[in-house]
Amino acid sequence: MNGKLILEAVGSWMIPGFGFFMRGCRIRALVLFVIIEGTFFLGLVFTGGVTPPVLDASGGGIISFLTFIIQLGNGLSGFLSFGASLWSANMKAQGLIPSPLVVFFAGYPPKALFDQASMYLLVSGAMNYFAVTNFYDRYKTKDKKS
Amino acid sequence: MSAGFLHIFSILYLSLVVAVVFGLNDHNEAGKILRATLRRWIKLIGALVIIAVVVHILSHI
Repeated sequence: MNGKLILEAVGSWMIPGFGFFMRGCRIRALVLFVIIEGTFFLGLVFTGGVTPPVLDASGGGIISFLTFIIQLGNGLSGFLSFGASLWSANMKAQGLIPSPLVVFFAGYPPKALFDQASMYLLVSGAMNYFAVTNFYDRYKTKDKKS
Repeated sequence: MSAGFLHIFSILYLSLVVAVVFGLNDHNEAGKILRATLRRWIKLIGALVIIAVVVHILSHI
């Protein structure tokens, strides 16, 4: 098992394009970063956010869970949004008002655009999963040959 | 911006993102990436338009 490759793949999961950047493919890394993070950012602008999955028998369980997993495909941004969502809910439960930055990352579920905005986060996460697996497949073969 | 325009923008933008990432994954040269991206994007938009038309027709039956 190539430890360096695994670390670069994990880095790519957290920051899109990281692995390609470390391997010298700077333009590819930049394009991936801009596209994937840009899509995530647009989702946040449209008041989307990574919310905790609804795990009950109401019918939303499996879709909610899969949505959550795929949205975390954009690792660092996904965790930031999820953390902000939990923090915001906690603050509101205590009668406090969360800061605008927390609200920006948490999203605003009551808003009509929330579901569509979360689709942007979903696409961002899914595309990063594909980019990370592509990175691993490319360099797993190259590292074996060298 | 009205919600309708946002939906149309979303379809065009998100399908472009998917096409670009798949194009980047499959090819290494800029020209090939651009051609693959454009081809995939048009096919994806075409498929989505067909689905939209079918859904529209079925919703009026």
